[in-house]
Amino acid sequence: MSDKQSETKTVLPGHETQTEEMNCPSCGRFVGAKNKCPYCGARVTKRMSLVAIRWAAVLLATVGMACLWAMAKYKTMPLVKIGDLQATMNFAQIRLDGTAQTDARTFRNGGMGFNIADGTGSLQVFISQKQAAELQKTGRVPRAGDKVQMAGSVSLSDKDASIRLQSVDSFVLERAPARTMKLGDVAEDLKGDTVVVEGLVTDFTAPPAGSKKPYSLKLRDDTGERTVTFWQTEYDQIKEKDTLMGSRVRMRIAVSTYKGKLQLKLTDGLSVEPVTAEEAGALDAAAAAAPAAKAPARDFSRGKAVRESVYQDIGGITKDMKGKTVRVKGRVASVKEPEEGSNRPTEVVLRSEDGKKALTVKYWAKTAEVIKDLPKPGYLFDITGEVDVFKGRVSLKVGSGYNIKLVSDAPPSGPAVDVSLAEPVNGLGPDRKGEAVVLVGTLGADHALQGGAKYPLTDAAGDTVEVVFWEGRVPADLLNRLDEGMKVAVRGTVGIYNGAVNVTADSGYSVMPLD
Amino acid sequence: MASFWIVLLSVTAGTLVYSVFSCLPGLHVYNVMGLLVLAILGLEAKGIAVPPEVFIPMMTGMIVNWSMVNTIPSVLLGTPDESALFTVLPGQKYLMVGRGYEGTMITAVGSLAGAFFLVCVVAPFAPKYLPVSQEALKGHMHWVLWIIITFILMSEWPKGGNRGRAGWAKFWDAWGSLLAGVCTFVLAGLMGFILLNRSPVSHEVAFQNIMPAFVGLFAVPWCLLNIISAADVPPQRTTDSLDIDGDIILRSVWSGGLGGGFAAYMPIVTGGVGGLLAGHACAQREERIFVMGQGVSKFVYYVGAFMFLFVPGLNLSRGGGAWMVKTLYTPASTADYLMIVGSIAVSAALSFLMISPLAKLTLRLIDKFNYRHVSSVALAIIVVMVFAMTGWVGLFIAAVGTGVGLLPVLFGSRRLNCLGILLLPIACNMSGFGETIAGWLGLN
Repeated sequence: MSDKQSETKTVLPGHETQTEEMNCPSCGRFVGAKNKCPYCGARVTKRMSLVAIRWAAVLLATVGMACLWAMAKYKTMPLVKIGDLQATMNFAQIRLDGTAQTDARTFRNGGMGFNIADGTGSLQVFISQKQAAELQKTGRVPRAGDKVQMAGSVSLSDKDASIRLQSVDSFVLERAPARTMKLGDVAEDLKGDTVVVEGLVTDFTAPPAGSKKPYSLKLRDDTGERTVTFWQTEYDQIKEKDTLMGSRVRMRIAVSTYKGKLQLKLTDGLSVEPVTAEEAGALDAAAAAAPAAKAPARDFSRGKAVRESVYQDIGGITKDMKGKTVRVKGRVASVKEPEEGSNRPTEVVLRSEDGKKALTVKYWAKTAEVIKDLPKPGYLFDITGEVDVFKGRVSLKVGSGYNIKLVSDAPPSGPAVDVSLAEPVNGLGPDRKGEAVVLVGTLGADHALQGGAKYPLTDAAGDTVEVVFWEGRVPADLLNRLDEGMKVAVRGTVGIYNGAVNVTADSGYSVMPLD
Repeated sequence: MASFWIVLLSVTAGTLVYSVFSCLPGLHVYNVMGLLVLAILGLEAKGIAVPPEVFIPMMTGMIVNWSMVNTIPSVLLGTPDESALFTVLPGQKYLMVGRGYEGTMITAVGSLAGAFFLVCVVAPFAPKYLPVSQEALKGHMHWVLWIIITFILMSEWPKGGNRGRAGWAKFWDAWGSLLAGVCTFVLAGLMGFILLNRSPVSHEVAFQNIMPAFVGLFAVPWCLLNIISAADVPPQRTTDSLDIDGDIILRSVWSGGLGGGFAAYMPIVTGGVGGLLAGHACAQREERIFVMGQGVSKFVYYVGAFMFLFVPGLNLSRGGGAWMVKTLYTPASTADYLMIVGSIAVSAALSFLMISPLAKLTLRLIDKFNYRHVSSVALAIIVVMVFAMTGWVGLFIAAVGTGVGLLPVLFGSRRLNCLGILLLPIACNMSGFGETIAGWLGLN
């Protein structure tokens, strides 16, 4: 039969040299590895090797896949230190064991993010919408200070590093121990802290349907009464919500301020638990036995006690004070973070309230881990540290993150920019590069930059110059307020970019809306 | 001015040096770029920083050169990458009638047309329009991916079942290849879930954890088939003219640009998928348009995806090349974008001029050495490379991938189904149930 076919088949040009099994015995076309002609459907007999390889491939694919699956299933993900991450580890699936540096933020898409640090570096964690909902449901939304163990896929670029949570199953959260406090002791100086309070629920108000207001619950103990607020998510988590009114409960709250007023927010509904009569009695007895005064604060200054309780003048710190522990108060002018993996410290430039004197404050990653509110440009900080002199320059070395405290995130009360110093835009030229100037004008359409924005500023005479605002230097709240058509006063430095003169806004509250 | 010469030298060096690698069948540019990234990081660890003005134009030259010159092994050695899927049959037809050189050059003209399309049409408008479209489309990518998957699976057609005995035998005859296609897609998808959730590859070289699978799915099966198949290449002739005209070029740019552009812009979608969709959308039936269109598509897909990383305001990471560069450098300004566009133009011109002599040289090599031997050498290089980067585990993954990659080839379905390795897990992840499936598989 095969001989007959080969006698009658039509061999196409160029196919004469092919072995029989490469061409169709019926139509003569090239069929390659196929055993059925794709043109006429005729069977093409192959050598045994090719038929065998077909089933060998099936075997390899299925058995191999099963082995690969088993290998992956029982593989333990490596525990990696953040500081050891390298560019070649992009997309690596790893485990992290660290501390949440920030509270989890909810994104507009419903996902979440927070920063994690393990002593060798920090990384941003992304949580998908579904995972975030699951974490909320199970009361595992991380807050600053909580211990976190997680697994995820790393994404690294030369500027950013992040990790995407792989599964909520692998997310282990150990809440940072919170102090139990009396309601009357909860004050604004605890802003950012999480504490446990307990008391009698005297009132409980649900928001009206369709309202955007939160739930509110009034809690009373022997020191006073406070209102605790929370949202639907937390409400859903509360186990015995029907018996809440009139019961004595314990809950975990986050202390914050809203419109200048103290606000107590329930961290999660799962933390609301009833207090038994015995517990309440024991607690009251303990409270009665304990002195009314607060326990002395732990000394985190690592043996270097603060010798002066008053603030040292920033300009008054000199080289001969080397080794002394001083306490200063000033506004953050700029924050320079070290490069990823670097052992260099974070450098914060602190300016006196009048803006005339500056001091560099240095702290290392280990210290940064426990800072409640990280220094940001424009914010007022109270910092205690040791005077250091390096290469002839005086700086303040901070050994404990507890010695860096936010005093105020509000802008300075006086005008940030002295409008009387304003000068016309047409007076700016390349010869003035590096000079400090004050301009007054109207902002044009913004142009987003990586890490900032630039606006054309047109003064009263109609002359325009580009003004650059960097996120690391100008407070974010101020930057977000800027808009096209807004009249502003800007304090900045003249520079040249691509041959054109521009002005880079100074650190801090260097732009002042005039409308 | 110094920067200009540095960039020019780097892109020229990248293009010229890589032209040798581009002629090797089955050796993907991203694999070699991975080695380059390792070398750059190694130098940086020793305190020798390689400036971006050197490595970015060099990598651009490599990608451009590969997407053009790799036509030579695709057509003449029958070892195409996935995105050149459709050139296999028409390309092989050219080869089997002694017109392999012509087939290569027609595809090369398509690549050159793709370069013009990218540099002169896409590049000037991309910074203005692509960021806007990205903003508008980014919430819709998941369902687009599902539609693509559906189309890939449903557009596979029964090959057979017309003759023979009725009953199961005929049913199997008709549906065998379809079943093989679906099995390939599912197996590749399963492999993707494993590698994206718990890759056995060491975390220290995780940036290459998909590479062994891709090598197994696409490169090794073709090398193996070339080695074991008994096909002989008939004598080839070269020619000074090509059977094409302006109309064919324009129609090729239309279909290839659309397919390649779509693939470059959409996540996970590759040139092969883009080509499949554009082929149906544009309904161009002419064989020469098909061959040339794939040249356009491949260029626009690989080079365009790389270019999008540098588009101001867009900075889209598509394709392995962009992801690798991102670990070394984040594009910051319009100057970077102009550098890339310029580098693409220079490299495309150089690469095109090199294709003809390189194709002739390859034909001479095929004459001299049996191309099965060339495929054996290529296979050896690939295996060594996979081992060097990912070790025994990588080789094992490549072997499993080979098993899956051989299924469509041996059972007569589309190799495109192998792309289930990325399409399935990523579509599931984007739709929000990837974690659940990974949980079912015990991979969380």
